Amino acid sequence: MNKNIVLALLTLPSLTFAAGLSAKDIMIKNEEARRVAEFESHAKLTSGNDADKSEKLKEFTFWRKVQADGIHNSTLTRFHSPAEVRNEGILIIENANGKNDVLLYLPNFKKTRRVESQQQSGSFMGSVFSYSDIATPHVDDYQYKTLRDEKCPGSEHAQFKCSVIEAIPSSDDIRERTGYSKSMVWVRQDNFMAVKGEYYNLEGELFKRLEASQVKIIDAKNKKWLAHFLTINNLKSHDFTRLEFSKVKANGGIPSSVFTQQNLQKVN
Amino acid sequence: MRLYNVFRFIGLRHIQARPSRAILTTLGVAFGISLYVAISIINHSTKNSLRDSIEAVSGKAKLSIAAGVAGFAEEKLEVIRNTPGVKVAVPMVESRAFFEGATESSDGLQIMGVDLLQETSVRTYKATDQRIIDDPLTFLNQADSIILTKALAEKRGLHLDSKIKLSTAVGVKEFTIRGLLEPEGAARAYGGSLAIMDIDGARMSFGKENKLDRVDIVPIEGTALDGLESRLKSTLGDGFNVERPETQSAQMEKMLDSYQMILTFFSSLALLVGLFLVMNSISVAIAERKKEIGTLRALGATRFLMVTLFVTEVFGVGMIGSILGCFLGKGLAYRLSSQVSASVAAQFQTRIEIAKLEFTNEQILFTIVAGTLAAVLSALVPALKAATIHPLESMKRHAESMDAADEKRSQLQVLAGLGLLIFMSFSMIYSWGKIWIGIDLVTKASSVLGAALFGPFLVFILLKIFRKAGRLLSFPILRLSQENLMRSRRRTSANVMALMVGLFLVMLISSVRSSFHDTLTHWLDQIFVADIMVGSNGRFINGDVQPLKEEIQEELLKVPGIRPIGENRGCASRLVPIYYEGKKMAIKAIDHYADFYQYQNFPIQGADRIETAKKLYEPGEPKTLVSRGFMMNSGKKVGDTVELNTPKGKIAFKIIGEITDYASSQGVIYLSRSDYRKYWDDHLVTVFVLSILPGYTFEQVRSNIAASIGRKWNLVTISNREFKDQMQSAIDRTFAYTKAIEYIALLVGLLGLLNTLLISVMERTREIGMLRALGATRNQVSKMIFFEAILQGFFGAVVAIILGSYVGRLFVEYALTTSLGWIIEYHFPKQSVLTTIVTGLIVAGIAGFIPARRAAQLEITEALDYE
Repeated sequence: MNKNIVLALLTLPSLTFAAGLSAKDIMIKNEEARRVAEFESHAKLTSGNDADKSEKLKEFTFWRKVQADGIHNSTLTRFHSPAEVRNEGILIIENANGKNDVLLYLPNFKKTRRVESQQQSGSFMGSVFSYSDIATPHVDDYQYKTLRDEKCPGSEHAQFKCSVIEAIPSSDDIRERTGYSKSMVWVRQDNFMAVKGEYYNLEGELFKRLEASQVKIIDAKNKKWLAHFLTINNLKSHDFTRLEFSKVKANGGIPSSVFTQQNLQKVN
Repeated sequence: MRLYNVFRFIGLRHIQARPSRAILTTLGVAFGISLYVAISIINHSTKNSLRDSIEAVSGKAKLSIAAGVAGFAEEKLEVIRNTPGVKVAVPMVESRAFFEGATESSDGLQIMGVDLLQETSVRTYKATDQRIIDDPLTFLNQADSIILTKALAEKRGLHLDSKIKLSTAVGVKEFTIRGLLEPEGAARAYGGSLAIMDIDGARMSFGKENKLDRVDIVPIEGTALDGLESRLKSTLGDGFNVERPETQSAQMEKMLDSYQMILTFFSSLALLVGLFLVMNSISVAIAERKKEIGTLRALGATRFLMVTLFVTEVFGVGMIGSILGCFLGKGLAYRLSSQVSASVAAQFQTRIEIAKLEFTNEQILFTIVAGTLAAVLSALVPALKAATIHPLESMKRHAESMDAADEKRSQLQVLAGLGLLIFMSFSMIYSWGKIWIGIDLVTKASSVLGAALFGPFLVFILLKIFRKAGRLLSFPILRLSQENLMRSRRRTSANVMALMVGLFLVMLISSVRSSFHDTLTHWLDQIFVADIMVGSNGRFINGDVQPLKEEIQEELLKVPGIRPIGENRGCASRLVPIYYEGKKMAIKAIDHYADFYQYQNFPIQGADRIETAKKLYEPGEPKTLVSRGFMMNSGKKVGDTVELNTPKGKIAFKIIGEITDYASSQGVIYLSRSDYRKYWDDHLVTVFVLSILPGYTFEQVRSNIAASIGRKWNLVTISNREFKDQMQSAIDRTFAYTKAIEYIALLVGLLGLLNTLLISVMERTREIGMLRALGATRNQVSKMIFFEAILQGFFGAVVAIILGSYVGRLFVEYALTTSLGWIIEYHFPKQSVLTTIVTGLIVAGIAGFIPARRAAQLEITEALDYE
């Protein structure tokens, strides 16, 4: 469900009423709303800690494209700064079996390394996000239950109503890969975009909270939305990460060859 | 008669009346216990640290795969991962690294090159700043990234982002500390002397390109480990060890057992000396209080009460001594732990960092109870003897002379001592200790007990000889002293025993040390014919150096002053450990050196050196030369073949000769380096061996190397002489801890002698009074007592030399081979003869001084009145 949350935050569906829909139906709508055929964006990832007030910024370009099966995505990130990570790349290929391929390219060694699935619940780029958070969640990976309907959290969404949905991983593999035993997501009933998520670790403790804002339409024709600003907090370590998308370009014609190991290893 | 009253009005009063005796006896017990405690703490902590290290490095892994120091091809990782039942297979490369300029093993650290993208599936790390470890983007892309343990960083005054310079296979490299680890999980290993690097960075720096040293396996839940182990073994082939962490731990612990047993043996000797002191003290006290015992017995005291009285007196002494010994022992353990670690490293080519010296409350309690009990037991024999004294007998005034029972007891004592020495000799020669460990322990204990019981007899023989010779001397006081010693055999025996056991121990240790030293020095003179050795940081002597790339050879040979080696010849050698049939041995892979060395580096036994050594480099089937230790452990002989596990499978090497080599106690295997490279695919070099052209001095060549390629590759150049000096200091370090044992034994011996001499002066108060009444001056009495001490010290030392060197010889020639595998030639410790005699005289002199003064101060009337 963690993936659902992050991905749900990336794109938003067209305005549709959620009334009378089951929890799963709502999440299907959510997946449809956020599934952009392809998009490219510049991104800033700021990580820090509330206690020591430290902040570290990483900038990268982000490409995502839906694979031929129309469900799973391929994602490539290429880092530009700081200098020590320049030209590093991460390629995430989602697989139907639920085990994602995550490849990391290290330009100083001219070598590509695989991030094993057990490691994918670990931190992505030193942020509060995990690799699993960055990959795309899929409806069938979870079992859902609507807990309640309430006013959406956050000033930007205050005028909308949200369905609060509990998502439980449908298999141990998914639990292990994501590192979450349960998550809760606040889905706007008007456009099915998730605006808030809470994540529970394998011990059942609440340890991450995600908030989405600047929800904007990026594909008017297909009514696809993207939350341009995400903040995730680790409630235990007090670490935080802000992910900010800019210069978003949807359906610009990204060739599939972008999402290959060869391309990952190509450095400009 | 109640025990409490008897103790309160008799026992306690004696202690109050003679506090010095009680103090000396207590100190004797304390010192004896302290060494035993120190060695126990170190042994226990070493094993705990070893177990902790193995557990910490293994983490959640249930199996580990390795193929020796040279590692194996990276491609095998996929083979391992695809084996049914494997859930996670995490790779690692390992290396020792040294801080720039290090010349000691203690300046080294263990490098664990791990794949941080997979690592937490097996091992856990807790960093001071977790984000650093969680951010592989920054960490992995920088080849200079390194994570140290917080403990190591604090020790060296380092912090996050500090730069450190380490010697690597490609010269000195600067690393940036990008993480600090709390002492949890894997960071507990190697006593915290470790650094974590990314696997690619570590490979690049330590010459392990495309190789792995180890793969840790987490199986799929429910997979039978035995089955997975067999599958992995059959998939990977013979050259691979697939082991469970507990097997690794058990193997290493077994290796340590024999060594620790010898440490325990030496420390037990000091304890034994302390217990002798208790026994002597009580024996003499009983003699002194014979009349009192008789009176008590006549008044109705039972034999049991008499035994209990003496035992109760000793109980307090034993308990206080044991408590004191615990504290002293803990302090001593801190002082000795690094020396013992160095000794273990030299012995097994394995450095075990003691993370924490542990002395639990249970151990303290056990030590106090055991120490007290041992003291009580040692007092039991004389106490039982006291109980058998007949009241009438005790009233007689003939304490000085030996009665028939004493004589018989003394003869039995000598016979028992002789019997123990004979048993010990046979047991060592025929390795009875191998049958059952209990026999080994009894054998070792017999050596000391035998010497202690039989030694005084030899002293009397020497005194008799001296008496005959002494008649020629017109030195009446000396003669009187000598007569006194001969007359009171019981007292003299007690005095000699106390000192002799200490000196015996000194001589025994000296024998072992001098045999090691002389054998190794002689061997080194034989084989080390080169002028120069070139390597990197670390210790050359045991190969604990940062290995170098073999390409350096070409550059080295171009340095002005280096003698050319000829075509198809090399100057490199590689020393690596190898497990053969569960025993840790060493491989020495040697280049075909230049002709001018005439194969002098091959100490071949029983065959023509040049012809046999040449065969090693002839093409055809793989060949080897093996040490006697190897033959003994493997049962192989010249002409047999030995199958060695290599990353390319089992390879049969034909044994073409026997060599003498001490690189490993368990066995050394000589190979041509071309064969070694071929089968192990290891191109690293431990040292380069070079010769100097005529007209150049060593210093000139050293400067030339430093000026040309020294800095680039971080080369350390040492001369033949310096290498031998390193050997000398290595031996000194290996035996450094034994000095503490010697000192403690001597200290306890000194206390023992002082105690018995003080008692003997008291015993002889009346006799001294008689002498003074007959005209002897205070000075003459003082001299007489002092000479008695000196004579006992001198003859005690002579007998300790005789018995110590005899037992030492057996120990070197048989026990060391049986227990540790060392095949060492016995060398009589000439330099220790004078030291032992002088020490004996000094100890006796110090011990004799106070009683002599006390005797001289006695008033004639009081002395004559003394009962």
